[in-house]
Amino acid sequence: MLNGDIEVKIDNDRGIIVLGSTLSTKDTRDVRRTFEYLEQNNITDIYVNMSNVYQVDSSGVGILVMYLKRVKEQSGNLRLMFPREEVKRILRLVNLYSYFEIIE
Amino acid sequence: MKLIFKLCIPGYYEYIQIIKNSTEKVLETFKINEEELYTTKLAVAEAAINIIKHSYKGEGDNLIEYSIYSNYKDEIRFIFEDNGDKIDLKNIKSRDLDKLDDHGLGVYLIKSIMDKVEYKHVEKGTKLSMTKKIGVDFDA
Repeated sequence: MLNGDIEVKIDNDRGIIVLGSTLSTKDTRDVRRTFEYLEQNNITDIYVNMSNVYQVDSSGVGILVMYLKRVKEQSGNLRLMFPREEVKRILRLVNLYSYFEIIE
Repeated sequence: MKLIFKLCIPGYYEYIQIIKNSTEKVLETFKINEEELYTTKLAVAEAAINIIKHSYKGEGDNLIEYSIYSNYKDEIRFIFEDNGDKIDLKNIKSRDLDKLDDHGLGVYLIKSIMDKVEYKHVEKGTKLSMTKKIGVDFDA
């Protein structure tokens, strides 16, 4: 399934999202739709591949935090895969880095 | 404080890149490191996003005035003015550090990057003033 530059697939009850180059205010609608698609399929174990993301803002981080909260409430997890330094920097700035499981 | 730069853009997210790029150009004349440059650009972008989101309630032709001042000594000041709804200043809140919270991230980000942040109502809308301390050694 594709949502703009975003790819998502379900593999053995795991949701795998591959984000495009930006995760910012203008992308939040597509990102939200992607997470909704996984929610509709009862997927709470989510891997977000961020290797393409070089630009992120607080709205982008906000979406990740919102869905991390939601899946944790259902004993799931949302992991960030291969984030670039730009993404890690903003997570550290808003004191949220430690909340995420990061896969390097 | 002397005015260094002034810009007026319509309230669309696509124009925020212009704010980031022009901030970078201005800051290049100061001896500011790469980390400070990156975070300052983040803060000014967040300020513009907040105006579009909260003062203007979405994208549109409403104008955002952006200016940069410096005392050419140890401070740079970034000022945003809008003519949107006067937001309740008491409602401008940072994220709650004790919670995994997605609210107030933009304001938290701005406050963590800038040394002084002030919001105030002006005749036509809201004015945000963000001041950053810089090293005294600069090229300008």
